Amino acid sequence: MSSGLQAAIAILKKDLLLEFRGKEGFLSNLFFGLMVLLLFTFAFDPSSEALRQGKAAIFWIAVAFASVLTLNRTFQRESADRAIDALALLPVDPAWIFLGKFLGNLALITLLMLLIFPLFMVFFNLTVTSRFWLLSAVCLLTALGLSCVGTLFAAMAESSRLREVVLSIMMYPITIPVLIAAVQLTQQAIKLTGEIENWHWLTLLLIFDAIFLAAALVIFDYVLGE
Amino acid sequence: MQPPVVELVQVDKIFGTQPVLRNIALSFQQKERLLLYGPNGAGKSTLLKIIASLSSPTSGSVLFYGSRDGLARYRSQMGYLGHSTSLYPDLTGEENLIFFGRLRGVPGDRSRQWLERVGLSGSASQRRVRFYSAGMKQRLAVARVMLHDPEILLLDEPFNALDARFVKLFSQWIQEKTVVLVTHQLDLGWPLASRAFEVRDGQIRETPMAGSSPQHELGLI
Repeated sequence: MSSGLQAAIAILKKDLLLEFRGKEGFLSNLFFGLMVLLLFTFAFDPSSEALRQGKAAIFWIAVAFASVLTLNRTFQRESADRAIDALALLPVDPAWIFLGKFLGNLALITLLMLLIFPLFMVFFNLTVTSRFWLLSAVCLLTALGLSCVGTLFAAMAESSRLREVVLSIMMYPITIPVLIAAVQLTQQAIKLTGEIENWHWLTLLLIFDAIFLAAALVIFDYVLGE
Repeated sequence: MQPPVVELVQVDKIFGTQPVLRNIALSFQQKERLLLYGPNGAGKSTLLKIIASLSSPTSGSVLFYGSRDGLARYRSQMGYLGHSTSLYPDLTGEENLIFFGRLRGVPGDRSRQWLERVGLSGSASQRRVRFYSAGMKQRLAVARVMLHDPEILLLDEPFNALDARFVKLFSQWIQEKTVVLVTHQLDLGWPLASRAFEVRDGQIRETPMAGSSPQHELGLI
């Protein structure tokens, strides 16, 4: 196994261990996401057209808000006692360090989705259809996009005293295309009948993920420096 | 003659509008042990960070083994202990060392050996670092730095919070290494050094090693 891959796996394992050891972080994010879902459920008349058309958006608002709280902690552990210095001085390409952190965030955001989605189905009276594969693909590609942009911007924001605010300000505008695509495709996936339209949103998700992952791997070296 | 391990050529460092280092020229060979001393805010730690490749100079250049391409080799042979311990407070002592070992391909057995050497084996190794005393954290940080058996050690106030017995032990471990040491404790640092530099107002000046340390001359110890 290459030393870079070994380092990425070690960082991933360490991040997951610390996340689940300090359960309060993940659980509070999850409950925040569920609360957003619950409030929107009661905010609309169950029979209204607005709710029928906006279901998917409500799910993704809950996921986006809960995710940014998770992403905020990405480099906090590293900077608490400057462990980031030890990572920055490793004799491996910094892209491996990014990969370790990114995969940790991807796992956590995917888990958030997996836990929020069943309640979303219950609150909005949805059933599992043959389009479940589309929903799974959309969730995975959106989690990839959010984790990739979020990990990169969390590293950039870490040196700021207002890192929580800075991350949100930087991340939401950039991830708007991902969230719009996710809403459009989820709306299609939870429909019981009719043709699936707007496949270009899936292409957009794929292109967004590919571009940002490649860019993050290249520029992380500069982000990790001063 | 081999190229120097690190060579700083006309290095300046400016934070905002504040110059911290000015026109620094410094190089050292393998097995040399450099001592950097001087008043607070003189730029010692900033200089050490530039030597460690953690910080880039505003102008001037830093060469590793005679070129800019020697950085990966340099980093694989270097251990850096800064002001902070670079440990994870919510991992145990053992988990910290095993993690940092894995990052550099060091087997878990060697991590446990180092825990024993720094006197943190047994129940101490299973406690979270958050609950360690300052001295225990510093010992673990020393173990973290020594774990991959680095040839070059860059140490910023490494004796802080360490007891006399451990300082003696640590001083023995670094005798055969290439060392750049920043310390105010000249009584500990001076006997270890082969060259000494005073850092003052962002500039460095080599101090002759013959005789006693400047602290002795000033009657401070």
